[in-house]
Amino acid sequence: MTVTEDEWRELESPQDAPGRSNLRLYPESPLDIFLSVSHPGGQRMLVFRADARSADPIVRSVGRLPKAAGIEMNLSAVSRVEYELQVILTADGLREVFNPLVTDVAETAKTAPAAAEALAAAVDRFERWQDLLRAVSRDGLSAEARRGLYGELLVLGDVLLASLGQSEAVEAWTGPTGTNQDFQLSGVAVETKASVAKRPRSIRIASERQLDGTGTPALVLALANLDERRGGSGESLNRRVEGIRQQLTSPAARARFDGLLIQVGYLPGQHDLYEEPRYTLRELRFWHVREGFPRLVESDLPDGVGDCTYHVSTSGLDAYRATVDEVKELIGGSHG
Amino acid sequence: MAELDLAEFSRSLVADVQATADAEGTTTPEAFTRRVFEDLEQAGVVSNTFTAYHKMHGHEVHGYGIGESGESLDLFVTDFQLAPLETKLTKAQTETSFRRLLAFVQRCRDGLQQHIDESFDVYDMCAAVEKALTEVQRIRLFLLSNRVCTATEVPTSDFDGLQVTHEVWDLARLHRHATSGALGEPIMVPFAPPLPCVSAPSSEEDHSVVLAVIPGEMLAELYAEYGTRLLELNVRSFLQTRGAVNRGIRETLLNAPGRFLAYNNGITATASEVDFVRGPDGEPSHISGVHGLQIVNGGQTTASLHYALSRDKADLSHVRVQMKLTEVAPERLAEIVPKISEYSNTQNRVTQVDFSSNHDYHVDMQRITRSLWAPATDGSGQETHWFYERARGQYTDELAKARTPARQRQFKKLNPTKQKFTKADLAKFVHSWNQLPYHVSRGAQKNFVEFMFNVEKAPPRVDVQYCQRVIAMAILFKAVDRVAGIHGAGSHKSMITTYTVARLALATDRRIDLDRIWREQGVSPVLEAAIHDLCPRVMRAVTAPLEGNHVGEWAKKAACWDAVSRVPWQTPRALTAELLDHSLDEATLAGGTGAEEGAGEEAALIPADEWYAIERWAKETRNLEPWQRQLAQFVGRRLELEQEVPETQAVQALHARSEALRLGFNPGS
Repeated sequence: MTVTEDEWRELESPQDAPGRSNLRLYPESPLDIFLSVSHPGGQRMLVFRADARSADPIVRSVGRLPKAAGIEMNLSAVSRVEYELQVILTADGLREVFNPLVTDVAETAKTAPAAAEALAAAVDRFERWQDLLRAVSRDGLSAEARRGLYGELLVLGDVLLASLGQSEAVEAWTGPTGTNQDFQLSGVAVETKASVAKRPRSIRIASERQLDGTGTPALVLALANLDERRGGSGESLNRRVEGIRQQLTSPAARARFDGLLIQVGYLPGQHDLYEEPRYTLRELRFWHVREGFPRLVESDLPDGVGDCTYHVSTSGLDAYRATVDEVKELIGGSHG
Repeated sequence: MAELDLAEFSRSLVADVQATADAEGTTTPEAFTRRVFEDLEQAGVVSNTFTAYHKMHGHEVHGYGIGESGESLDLFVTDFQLAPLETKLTKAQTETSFRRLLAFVQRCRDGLQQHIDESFDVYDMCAAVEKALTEVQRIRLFLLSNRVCTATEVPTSDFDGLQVTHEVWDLARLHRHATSGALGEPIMVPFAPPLPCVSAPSSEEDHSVVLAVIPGEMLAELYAEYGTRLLELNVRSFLQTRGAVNRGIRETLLNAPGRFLAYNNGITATASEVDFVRGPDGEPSHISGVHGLQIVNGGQTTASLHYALSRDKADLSHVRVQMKLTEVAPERLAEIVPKISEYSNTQNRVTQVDFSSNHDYHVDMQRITRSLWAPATDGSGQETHWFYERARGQYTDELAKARTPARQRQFKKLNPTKQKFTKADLAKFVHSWNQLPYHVSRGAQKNFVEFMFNVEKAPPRVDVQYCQRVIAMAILFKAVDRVAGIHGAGSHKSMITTYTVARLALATDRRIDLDRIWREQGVSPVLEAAIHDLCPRVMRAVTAPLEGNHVGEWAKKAACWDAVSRVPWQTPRALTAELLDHSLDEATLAGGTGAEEGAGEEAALIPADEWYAIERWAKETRNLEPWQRQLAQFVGRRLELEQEVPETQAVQALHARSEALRLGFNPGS
């Protein structure tokens, strides 16, 4: 579920006695997960309660608990046999970030097989967020990250939303949550690249997992070739985002979309950073990544080799070209 | 514990901590912290310790304690690793840990407690730390680690004008203590300039005695530095109340310091080695240093000097204290020191109690429980043992003896970790049943000492039935503990549990059928329902202090037990139907099964007149407990009427008689 202001408002309604209002999330998960608001302090938090044995690894792990400006993580003994991990919002300015963050952290924890793994996953996940928030804290996203985001939004807006329902299209955009490909549906996965070279000769692949089709029936590589400049008649990142938001009439899909944007580091308070540059699409090309496509996958690598970055030359790829319609068909055909 | 090398010690430490954590359902760092607390409490380094874990950005803490005298605030941070030998604890890590521990103190001062839910253990800790900061005179930070630390010396710093000292208890130090048998580093005192002394020629091989006069300031500072560790061999230090100051001593110090030497009895000390400066005749003329100093008598004098200096800011420059110093070979220490202590304590006798785990009581308890099979009640047909851990590490040692994984599994099946209990646990179970919850709430070590006094006063006959009944108390205690958890006892659960058990024992006049609990290895549904009904009522009384506002401190007071005793609660009718018709009180429990051979006859061999004489003597000299005097009278009366003496009473009476003889009763007079 996506955590929104509605849930908090409910919890924040004043109470006579000091204490906490709790809303349980995911009753089926291996540990107790709550959204909580403390009274009278009114602090918002996401809370994980587990038995002490499950908390053992995270208590033992040396090091510090991550902290992002305005969002903190605490670990505390309720008693000798019960521990609580809390993600607390300490600066109201980060409310909009906090919601997608707790949504994501809670979702990650609930899928863990047991409480101990759930706690470890929650700490890991929070660290990811912390890294992200730290990275964009001053100047926002790097030029390359902006391009990449623009490319993904291009595919989302022009291809997915054209062939799927709003919610499905937004759900399919999994890149922000750290999956191997940017879009994942039951029948196809799409990896999107953006380039500003006049005639890109090669495509940079960030890991041996990006073009690994294991677990997906079909895999498509998309390349958005962009013209990027300050000023001019192109489309800014903000315009692109706004355009997609206009198309999303369902509040749930829109909330999800906003959360994903935050998760890639496009933060609400920093929109003015993204008025420039502007992008004009020169060409959007697609390839089927199938048997014979030049790539590295995990199973090819000698033991001990990993985290490969490599380049695929575009010149030898004609045999694998796919049209936009073919791609739309693949996407539309997988109602997932 | 036998001599172990460091690696072996480390391995068994980890295994032991894991087993304890499993059994108690807590984390390994928590179990390790507790374990070190026990050691440090035993050594008199810390007292009133409490574990509570809290970690947030910038600080981490595992527990706190308030020194015996209420003068120091102790905070603890723990580094516990499952593979402790692979890495060392570096200087940088050590400093970071201490910095973060001090950050916690600072945040407590700045009101961290407001941000913590009241139901958390951590809330109590923050409240206590914040309060302590306004009362204590110094802060001690402890880093407890099962790794070897490369830099154990951290310089003193200060916090809001309070001195902050740092202590590292790493693997090496813990190992030294485990193997040396004495937990404290031997106290080494240099005298510069050397202290003049008079030595008495001694014909004794194993010790020599000198007399000296020691500056009062020096003694006060020694106590400030070492606290109760100076008194380890002084049995009476166990009985000392917190920060007790002898008013007479204090008056003299403040008003007539020059007369102190004339008025005060002085101190009696022992040392394992004394460095002498010798005169031309080869006789000792001065003391230049003392190793392994222990004050065996005059602990109160020493403590009072310290408080006069620290609290009253008294000028001790004119105070002199006479000292009798006996140099005793370490191997004779255990034999000679109690005697010195006993004979120098003339003002009120101190019972000599063996607090070691080698006491017959524990040895018997272990012997019987090892071969005692608890019935299988889960339908598996698998009978199990309740494993009594008389000495630390026994469980893991036994486990290690099972060489193959399969055998280890088997061992664990027969000896489930949940059924492991230590001597401190045992004291807790029995004292809860015997309605001494305020002793239980004073902490494991203090409760255990009290327990051993009681064992000494009325030694139970440890037989199969006794062991079964003690284990039944354990089962009852654990059942109540679970219920208390369900009712949200939270951080006060340990106190609420012991008080609930005690209140239950009171309401039922200890007629709950312990033998049935043993047979069923659990409590009956009727009893469980009664516990559910009673527990929240007890909880309200325990968590609403009538004195002070700290629940932990309140629970230590007898007044708390009075309040809980007054909690209106009647034994439900269904439970009454299940009760025995006789009380399982101390005497019944101690008497065993009545299969005792010969105690009755033995008592009958002693003339009735002697029993009466014991009663008169005890009354006149104010020795023995009132019930023991009464018992002597009762036995004499039975014999006079030529009636049999019931076994239970005979055992107790014989014990009272031997105690009387030991305390100077002379049957011939």
